Amino acid sequence: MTALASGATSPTSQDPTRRRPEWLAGLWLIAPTLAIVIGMMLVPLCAIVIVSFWTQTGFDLDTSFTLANYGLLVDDALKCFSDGCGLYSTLIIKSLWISFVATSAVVLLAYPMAYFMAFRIQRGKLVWIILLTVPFWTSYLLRVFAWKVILGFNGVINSGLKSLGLIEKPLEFLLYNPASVTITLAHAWAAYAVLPIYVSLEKIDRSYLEAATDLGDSRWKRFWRVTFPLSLPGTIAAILLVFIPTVGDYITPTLVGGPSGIMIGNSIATQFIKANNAPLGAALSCLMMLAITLAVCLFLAVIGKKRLKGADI
Amino acid sequence: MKKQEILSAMKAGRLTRRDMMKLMSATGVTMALIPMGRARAADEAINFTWEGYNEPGFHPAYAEKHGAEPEGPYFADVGEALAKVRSGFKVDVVHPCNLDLKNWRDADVMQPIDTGRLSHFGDLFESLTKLEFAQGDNGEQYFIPVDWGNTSILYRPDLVEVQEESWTMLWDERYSGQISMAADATESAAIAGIVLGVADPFNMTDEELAKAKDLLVKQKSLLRFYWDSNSTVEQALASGELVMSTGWNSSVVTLQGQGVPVKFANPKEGIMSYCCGLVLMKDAPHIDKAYDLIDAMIAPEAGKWLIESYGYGHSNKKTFEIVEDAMLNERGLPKDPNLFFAKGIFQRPTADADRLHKMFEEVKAGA
Repeated sequence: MTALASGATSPTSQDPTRRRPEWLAGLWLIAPTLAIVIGMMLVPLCAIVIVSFWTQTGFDLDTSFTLANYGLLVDDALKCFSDGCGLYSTLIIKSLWISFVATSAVVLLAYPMAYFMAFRIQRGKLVWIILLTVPFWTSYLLRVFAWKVILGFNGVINSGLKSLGLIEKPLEFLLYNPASVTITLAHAWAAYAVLPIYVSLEKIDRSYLEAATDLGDSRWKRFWRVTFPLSLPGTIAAILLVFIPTVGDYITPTLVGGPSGIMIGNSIATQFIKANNAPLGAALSCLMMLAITLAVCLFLAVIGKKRLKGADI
Repeated sequence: MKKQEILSAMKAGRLTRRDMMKLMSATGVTMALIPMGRARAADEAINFTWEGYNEPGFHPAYAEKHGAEPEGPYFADVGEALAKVRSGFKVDVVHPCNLDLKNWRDADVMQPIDTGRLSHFGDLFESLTKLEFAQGDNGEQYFIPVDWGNTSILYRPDLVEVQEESWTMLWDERYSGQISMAADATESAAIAGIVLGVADPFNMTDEELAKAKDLLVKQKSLLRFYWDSNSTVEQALASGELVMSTGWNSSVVTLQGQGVPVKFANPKEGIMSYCCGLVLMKDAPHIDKAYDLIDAMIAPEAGKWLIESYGYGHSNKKTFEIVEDAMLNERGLPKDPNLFFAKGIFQRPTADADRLHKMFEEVKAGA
């Protein structure tokens, strides 16, 4: 204690020449995070890229450099211009579409929730935030299973409608199709959207809203001209947070997708697990990441770079 | 620096950035040093197997000798099991079927089994111990057969109108949305091959495979889902969500036990049959206990339980001496597996499984 305390008050610590450079201090601060990011993200990512240039021969890997896997995927994509897309392009397009729909649904549902929390709740906001995250204390898998129970043949919805006498036979379109994947994803990722939107709404200076009202804006106009633009950073963050991970999701389509609900993640898993072709799986993963990057860039270009400037996502 | 001092320093705002960082790094180091050792698992043989295949009844002699049950991690798919083992999952024995034996041998993950250490080995049906790829090139034993059974169509006779039992039932448009197939490339391809009437449904020519693919694409719109575990099929058949599905003998026994009317078809093209058993891993951590486990699973009393509770045939001849004939009749099992295999289409290893996986992926990915 003495050493620390004296260090805090002694004049030497105020001496700028004895200070460590700013960047070094910053580096120390992020060192643990950096180590994790390098070890758990960068190294595996490089491994995936490297493996994607190899080939599988039986149960061994042929480590000579080749573009064969990418050639196969390019051929697959080129078919889109002739006689219908190949297997992998179809799946990537389908996955992007499912994620797009799910993300839209999540953001549309999350925005009102976040708005309510930011503007209508005066006391006990923390309790509301905790309540909102309660469903997310259980594992992702259980949440997906819960939807299986809700949408299933003898599930909550079907037995509910049956007991009300509205239907005689269970509705079969509820489960095992791309729509059920979308519904499940939309719920499973809701918290990731509510929180960033809530934060950006909460940060809005209330005097802007008063000013807008004073200057004659209706509530509706005020929302579109003040609140919504100022909440964009959080909304964009929410969109990215939900869209990017859901494209590659694998377990949701497995459990609720049925015969036609599979996504690119399932195909990648098949390459690694059943088909025993890790290099092709790696190349597919790279292609998927590339497709997501392009989709995200396109999205950011559409909403305009200007809006993003100064916005801290 | 004591706790109270830190807290009061913080409250007074006297804690400098450096102090704070020292504190934080100290916390970090402490956290990193908390022992991360995994709780030691019980030191029993690890039986990497199918869902429901590590019940005590499968190997009563093991618990008698060791006073504990073997550990039983499950797999849903043999391909998944092989991928896991190859990526370093340490187990003692795995339970593949003869259809997959070539893969397991090519992957070079098994060690030969010293049959002298198995007290029941001499009582096994020789036709099973000498199946294709069960032995190595020099006659060493890699595969110890345990159970044999059928893949066929499970259906609800109260909900399905059947003129003649046939594999084409799985393409019956009247039951669109109420049919299911296993999510298994090899088996699906074989079923399509049988329907097409090809010479060898397990090794089709490219042309035949293309036709099989078309057939499976056509079937896909009729399916509720591709199943991954037999419990899924059993529940769906019991609730009426499905009216028919591919499946195994044990599901008939389970469902009939629950009072669900269900029949196991004997298709006119021939029922599919197979034999599954145990292989010993190269780096098995509990080798002695693994031998005890294998021996326990091929014992006649284990076989009796298997026939009575699961409805599968057993690899030990003596099993058939202690099971009553009425029970065998009820389960549709003859006394000799060769008679059984001769009746149907025996599953055999596929030379080029990659082709089948690619084909099946394409079927599943189509709109």
